[in-house]
Amino acid sequence: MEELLKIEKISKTYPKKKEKIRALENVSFQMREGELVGLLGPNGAGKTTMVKIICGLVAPDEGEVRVAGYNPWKERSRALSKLSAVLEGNRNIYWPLTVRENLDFFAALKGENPGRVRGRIDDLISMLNLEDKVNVTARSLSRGMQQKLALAVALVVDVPVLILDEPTLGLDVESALEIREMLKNVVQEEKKTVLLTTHDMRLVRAVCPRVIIINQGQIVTDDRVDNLLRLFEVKSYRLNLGSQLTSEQELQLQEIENTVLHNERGNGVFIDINLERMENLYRVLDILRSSNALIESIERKDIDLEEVFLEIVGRRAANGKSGTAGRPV
Amino acid sequence: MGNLVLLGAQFKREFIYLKRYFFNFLGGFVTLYVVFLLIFFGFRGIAGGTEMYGAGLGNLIVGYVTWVLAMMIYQDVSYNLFNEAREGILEQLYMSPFGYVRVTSFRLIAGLVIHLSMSVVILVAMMLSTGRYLNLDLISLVPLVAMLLIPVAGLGFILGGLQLLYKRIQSILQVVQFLLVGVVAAPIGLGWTQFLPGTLASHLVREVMVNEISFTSLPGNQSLLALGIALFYALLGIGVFRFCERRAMISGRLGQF
Repeated sequence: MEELLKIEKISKTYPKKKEKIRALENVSFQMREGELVGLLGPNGAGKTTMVKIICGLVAPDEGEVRVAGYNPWKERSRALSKLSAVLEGNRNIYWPLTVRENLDFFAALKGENPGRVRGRIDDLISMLNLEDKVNVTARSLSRGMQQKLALAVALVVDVPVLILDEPTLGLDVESALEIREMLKNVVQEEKKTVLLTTHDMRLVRAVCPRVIIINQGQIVTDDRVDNLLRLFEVKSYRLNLGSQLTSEQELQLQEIENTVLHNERGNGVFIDINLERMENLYRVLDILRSSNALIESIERKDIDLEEVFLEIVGRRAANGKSGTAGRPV
Repeated sequence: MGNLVLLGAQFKREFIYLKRYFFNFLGGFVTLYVVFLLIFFGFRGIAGGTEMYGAGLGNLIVGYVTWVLAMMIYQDVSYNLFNEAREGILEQLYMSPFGYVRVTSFRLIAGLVIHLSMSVVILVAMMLSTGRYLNLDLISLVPLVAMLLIPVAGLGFILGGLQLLYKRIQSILQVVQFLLVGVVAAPIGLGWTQFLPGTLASHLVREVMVNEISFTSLPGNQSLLALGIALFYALLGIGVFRFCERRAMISGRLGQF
């Protein structure tokens, strides 16, 4: 399939007083047609800088971006006619205009006659359950609806590349779910190439087959979510106890490697054991047997994407491989 | 075709805003009219009840209305950029394939129609209030008003560009807004003053409206010079704006206000 988004060796530093802050360092990745990729990273990792470079809003120091084959700096008009974006922290819509007026205006801003995309506008309104709010000004909408409208505005013209920077930030569960379904739809039905930055791991797990994790301006992982989960999969079990432990037992358990004790008042006592070394389990069982502690259940504990993310980002920092990004150079 | 679509969208948006904020618009109109009356009657008071008449009064009316128009165009460029950034819409406009300068220029044209209508109403109200009726030769006035407003828009782009780099410069914007009074009313007899943005064109507008000279009867060299000045400031404004825009994009401060 065609590569619709190509990022080649992008580096960016920001001037700050007399020094420079490195935001991105030698970042490269590609996205094919119809691919939905999550761009993850802690705050200040360089995600928003990356997104703004793709959108032609920030100039890179080095490297090249190609959107559907066009460079947003050298062939700005062509490149920008191939992408839409919802940027985090921005309203992205005119508050004094109604839902339909916003959609009409932004269609024209992309060079499309609103009359010719009337059907698409109606479909978007329907898909996002905004039918009752068509003639309501954006200012009067709830935060969730404003965010849905911003997304609809980005989709009003059928462009192949969609960039979404934190599209579910601050939304309630219901609105976040609607946006999740919409994202699935635009990838499956419209074959759009979507780059999504978010801290919402449930959203990533639900819609992104592939993630790129960026930390301190460098890509630390670019892989399929399934592969990452498999890579970090450990045989881990949780023992659910029916009785409290003595403080001496708690101390003994804390000394066992890869074993975590959770004593949540009101919710019981849990022990998470990593079975990389079987002797850990035997030692735990010996301690529990010594007091005839009641084991109510034993369940397998699956690793989730959030833990994988923390593991990758944390391991990178611990190994001292964090490079110079996000720091003075 | 795309340009017409964008221009149409800007017209529609301007009229929606006008309709939705009509009382704000009306308030602005009434304020400008009342300020003119204060100037007019204030002058009479200072002059000990002497009536203003003839060319002096005509120049006052034309000077006031050209300043109002110039101020509106200037504000449309400089203040709107700040508002768009504050409203979080600036970066979306930058992502238009048309480019921000064209998007803003089309908004300017759409806004101009409203501003011109407002200026005509103020002008008629002033003529009725003072009893001084001026020559409204539209064929002569349209090109001259364009030559007056284009360099002012250029000035707006220069200030808009500086705003992209230095962000909150509202105090400077306000100072320039009042300096426009001097710019549109400056006499061209000093020589260098005619090179200020809109000064010569403003003089020619007065020649048509007050002295009832048609466009074709105006000195050709002055009309050509006014056109050259208009183009110079327009190009300078866009050039400075693009330079500042580039600097803002390099420093990553485009949408940060």
